[in-house]
Parts: sequence; structure tokens; C-alpha cells
Amino acid sequence: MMIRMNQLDFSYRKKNVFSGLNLTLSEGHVYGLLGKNGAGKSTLLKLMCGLLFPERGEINVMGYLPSARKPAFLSELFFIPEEIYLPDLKMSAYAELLRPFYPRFDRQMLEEYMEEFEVSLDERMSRMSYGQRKKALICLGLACNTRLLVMDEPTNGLDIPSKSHFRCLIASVATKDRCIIISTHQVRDLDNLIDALVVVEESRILVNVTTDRITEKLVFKNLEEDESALFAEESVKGRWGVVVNENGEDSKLDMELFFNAVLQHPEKIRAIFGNDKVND
Amino acid sequence: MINCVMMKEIFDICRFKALAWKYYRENMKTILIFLGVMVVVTFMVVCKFNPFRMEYTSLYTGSNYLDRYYGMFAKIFWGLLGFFLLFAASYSFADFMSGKKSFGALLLPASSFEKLLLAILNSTVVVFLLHVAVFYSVAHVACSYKYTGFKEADKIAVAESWSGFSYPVLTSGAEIVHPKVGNVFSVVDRFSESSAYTREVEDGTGVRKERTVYFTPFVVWNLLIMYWLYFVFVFMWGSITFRKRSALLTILVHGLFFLFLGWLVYRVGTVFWKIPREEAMLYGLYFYNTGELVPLSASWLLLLYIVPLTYVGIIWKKLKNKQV
Amino acid sequence: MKKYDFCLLALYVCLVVVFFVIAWGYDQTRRQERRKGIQYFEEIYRTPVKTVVFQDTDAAIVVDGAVQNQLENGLEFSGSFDVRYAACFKISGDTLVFSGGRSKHNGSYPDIHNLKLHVTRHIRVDTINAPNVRIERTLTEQDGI
Repeated sequence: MMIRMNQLDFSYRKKNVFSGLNLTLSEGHVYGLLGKNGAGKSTLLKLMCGLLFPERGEINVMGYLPSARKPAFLSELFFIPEEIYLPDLKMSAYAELLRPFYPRFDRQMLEEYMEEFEVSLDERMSRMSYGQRKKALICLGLACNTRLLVMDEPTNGLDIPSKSHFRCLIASVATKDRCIIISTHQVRDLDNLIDALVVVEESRILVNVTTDRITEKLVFKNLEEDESALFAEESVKGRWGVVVNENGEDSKLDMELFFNAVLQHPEKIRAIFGNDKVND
Repeated sequence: MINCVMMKEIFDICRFKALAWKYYRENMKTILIFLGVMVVVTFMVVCKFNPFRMEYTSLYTGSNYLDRYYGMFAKIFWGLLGFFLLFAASYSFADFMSGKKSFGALLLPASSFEKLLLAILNSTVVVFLLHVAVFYSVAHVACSYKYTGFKEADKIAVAESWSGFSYPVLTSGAEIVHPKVGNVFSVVDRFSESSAYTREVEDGTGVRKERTVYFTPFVVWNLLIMYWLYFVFVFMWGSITFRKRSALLTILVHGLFFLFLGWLVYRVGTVFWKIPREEAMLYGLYFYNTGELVPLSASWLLLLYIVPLTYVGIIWKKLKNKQV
Repeated sequence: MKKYDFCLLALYVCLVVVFFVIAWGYDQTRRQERRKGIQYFEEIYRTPVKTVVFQDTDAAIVVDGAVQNQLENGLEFSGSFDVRYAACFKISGDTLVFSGGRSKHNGSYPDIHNLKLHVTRHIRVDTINAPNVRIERTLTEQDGI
């Protein structure tokens, strides 16, 4: 078990964010963390990283208490926040400064990733655009080879080709002892990237399930006019929706549809997936 | 640089060196700007409080010229040191308080003890060493003379420094004695000496005079260090407590608190120490007592180290519990 | 500001309390010494005195005529007086002798500098090696000195 949260309570001043939240995440998966604005996605990530402390309940990440922020724990964690900061140095120099702190840092991998993203190692980061800096930080995070990689809106500011590179890179680094958590609004960016989905809403986890399980239990297809669905929307190609997969049909996961279905019918979704958790 | 092993939780020298090196490389520009400001401010202050003024010289006052300007140099040195130390201390945890930078600062794989130690070293030892280097360099440079001339009205030989000081030639004739920047640390020995007193002590052989130095140099050095550490840690506490305008808020909070405490002490003190008339006066005669205190050893004052150490403990606790 | 900031508050309050305790201790000692000094002078006032001698002292004392003699023994002190020098006054028969009173510190001025002695005309005042004792004119006129 990579991350375990039990009966977590957290609030900002008087605004309650989580109440009795339970969540379990395992290594060997790339998780997509979805939720509406203000649902608490960033807060959840910060709680996992030890940047925020819960008021009640317990969190266990890789066997450590995140709030203790022990060096051994921090060296196995890399967090890429939504608002990034990089010093006025060249990435080549900055990487050398960070290397002593991450035991599995790989310079070769950094160079490869930077080349893939077409970002120069020898350009001062203060002169880069926001998108370039984001890419540089993503490369650095991947090259540190930490067991837990947490990213908050990593594709914000990335151009379309870069998003594609990003998907390829994540797929290549996802190993069975690693856990990658990506929080984003850009649901479509998660296509072919994640293999598990966590939806958070109204201070609780609505669903925590693998993409395979979703397509096993639900089918995403064109619907007849009068066909009832968990969620449907009109598109150019007709009425596109998600229904319960009673016939074992194969379909491609449409994350946006699934997300909307979860928000609209949370109890139905919970009933469908029961106590499914992402486990090896 | 090789990877540092992450097994030691509280302190690891390899990790600490990497942390320090990272800090200095990342903030090199800021450090150089700070150094530049130190040079400019030191130069301006040394020029403004020109210790080579005519009136300080033996030609005019008959006083010990060297003594006078050593004293002025010491005042400039210690005054500027205080200013720079507190300035550095009030920014010591700026990275942990700023939104974007705080993620990296808090999640960098180093212990909070190491991060605290680095902040303390930067706000004390590093600033102190920089200040000594800058002060003596600037003062020596400012002292270097350019040409000589005569102050016609007084017919006194004058040497003029390129930086605008003019000072009289100490020996008549051509020889010019450069004013030398003295040892500003001699204040410790001077203070220690000034605390010496002679008591008449009666023993078996009669009355003899006994000279006691109340503040030994060891105690004075420690008091000096403790004094500076206190102010540095107060401002470091402010840096980690207040997000913005930390120096101002630190002064405000402490100032208000001490005012209140002083008022409380005054109120309680005047109640406690009201001396009844019959204990102080007999008819028209008022009795007072300035008798020799049998002084506690000045070494007891070193117990006051508990104050700056408490601040350090609280700063450490706050750093460990810092949330974003 | 968090709750452990109040540790600082507690620390300062403790320091103030410690300071008060030490100062209180000193003050109690001083009060005791002051009381002893006052008792000593009360004893002097009870003793009939005919002669006052100032000798071997650099104390600055002014001797004046008594404006109102309220005391039986014909002399009265006024001004302010450091009680540690009380023992400089010694009664020997009907003679009050003041000697010593030299500062034991490195100070360059005598510590006794605000003491006035008012005497009636039947008391004789002598000075021996007491350069700072000043006998005022009023006494001189009254006693024909």
C-alpha cells in the first residue's frame, strides 16, 4: 500500500474540506485525481506530501507520516505544484544541486526527457516561458526516480505536442514500484495516461477504481433517443452517453462522461463499483 | 556531487553541505546585491561619521587622537553589524513563507534541523564574516590619502583622503601618519577592565586592597554573543511567523509587549517597594543605602542564554509544523 | 501566532519574576541595614552630647545652628545620609565623634555630601583633619566663634 488515509478530517479556517475521508492508493499505478473546482484535489495532494496536516485521522505514505517530513520520506517524493518556482539557473546546474538529495537521480534520463520536450539544459530558467519551465520541472521530477510522483495540473501551460510527449513519458516511467498521481481539470489530457481514477467531491472520495474496472462495469456508446443513461450528452455524432455494461461490451473509457456521471449519480456509481479499491 | 544517504534523520554533514551549496548557488545574485549594499552603506556611514574630523585630533583638543577615532570606528562597526544582522535575520525564512518557493523549501529532502541551522548560520556567522571583511576593506580604502595641502587659515598641514576626509598631519612636517583602523574587538577588553573594582578586605594580616574584575573577558564575549543572538533570533522568529513586513511586525509585537510588561513591572514595583516613612526617615534625615551589593558572580548572567535558545526552539517547532 | 509563541510570554514573565525575587531579596537586606542605621541614630539622639568632633574624614558635612531644638540632646541631623556610614558616628562619654566615612570605592568624591548637623549653642564643635566639614556663619555668630 503506497498511500493510506483513514478517517481524515481537514478544514481551512471554518470551511470544511474533508470529513471522515478514506483513501487507499497502491504502487504500480498512474492515478488521475478528478473533482470540481474547490473539491479539495490540491488539498488532498498537499496532505499526501506533508504540506498540510490533518486535524483528525491518519495518513500513511510509503510507511511514513508525511507531516514529519523526514528526509528519507522526502527523497522518495517529488511534488510538482500548479504554481511552479525555479531559480535563475540553468537546468544543468540546478539538477546538479538537487542530485545529492535524490538517491536515484539519473542525469542521463534528464537529458533524454529534456530533449524529448525540446527544452534546453543550458538555458537560464528565468528566460524560459511558463510552459518551458513546466516541462523542465516535469523532466526533473521524472529524472529523480522517486517512488511517489505527485503532479498538480501538470499539463497546464503545455502545448498540444508537449501534452503528447508528457503522456508518452509518464507511460514509460510508470513501473510497478512507483506511484504517480496526477490531479487535473483537463480530463482529456488523461486519456491513455492513467490506469486508475479517483474522484473527490463534497469532502469525500466518490470513486477509486481502475480504468479496466470502469470499462468492465460501464459502457460508453451512442445511445438511442429514449435509452436511459447514467449520463448522456448531445454531440455531433448523436447522443453519447454511459450506461451500465450488462452485456459485457467493450468500449473506450470516456473520462469526461464518466466524471459527469459520477457527479450526477454518485450513489448509483458507488453501488455499481461497491467497495472496489485499486489493489494489486 | 555524490548522493547523500538519507538514513540520518536529524543531521547529516553531506546533506547539510549540499543544502548550503544549493542555497548559495540559487541565491548568489541576492547575496551579491546584499554585499554591494553592505559596501555602499558602510562607505556612506564611515564618510558621514568621519572619525578623522579636526576636532578629534590632539592639535585641537589635546585628547588622545587615536583613542577617539578607535571609539568611533568601534561604534560604526557594531552599529552597522547590528543593522545587517537584523536585516538578514528578517529574511531568513522568506523562502518558507512565500507561496511558490515554499513547496520546494519544505519538500527538499533535508531535515528541518539542517534547514534551521543553515538559516542561523546565514544570519549570524556569514553576515558577521562578510561585515568584518567589508568594514575593514572599506575603512582602509576610505583612509587612503590622495594629496596633502595646507589649511591656510590655521596653518596646519592637512592630508585629504580621496573619499573626502581631511585630517591634520600628526607630526609637523611632511610625514603623514595614516589613521589606522583599530581593533574593534578591543571593546571587550576595555569593558572588562572598566568593570574592575577594588575592595578593602580584612583578613588575618590586616586590611588589604583586592582588585576584582566583575565582568571577565569570557563573560563579556558571551554576553556580547548572547545579546546579538537574541536580536537575531527575535527577527528570525518574526520571519517565520509573519508572511509580510515581518521586521515591522516583529518590532511592533515585541515593542508593545515590552511596553505592557514595563508598565506591569512599574505598577507592581511601586506597590511592593513603597518604603514606609518610618523606615526611611528619622526626623529631618533621610536614610538611603547604596552599600556595596555583594554581587552575584557575573557568570550567572550566562543563564540568560535560555532566552535566545527558547526562541530557537520555537522557531524549530514552527518550521517543523509549517504548512502551506 | 501559535500557542507555543506563548512559551515566550511565559519565559519573559518568569524572568521578570526571577528579577523581582532577586531584587526583593536585596531590598530586604537593604531595609534591614537601613533599620539598623535608624536605630543607631535614635540611640545617638537619646544620648546627651556636649562636644561634636569631626576627625580624619573627607566627608562633606555642614554644621549649622539649630533652628528649633526639638531634641533633648541639642543636636539634629538633616539632609540625606548613606546608612552604611552610620558607624562612623561613635559616642564616647558626652562626645560624639565622626571619623572615617572615606569612600571605599574608586570614586573621587566623598560619599557623604548631603548631611547637615544642627546644633544648639551649648554644644562645642571641633574639626581635626576634616577639610570638607563646613561650619556655617550662623553658628559662628551665635557662639561668638
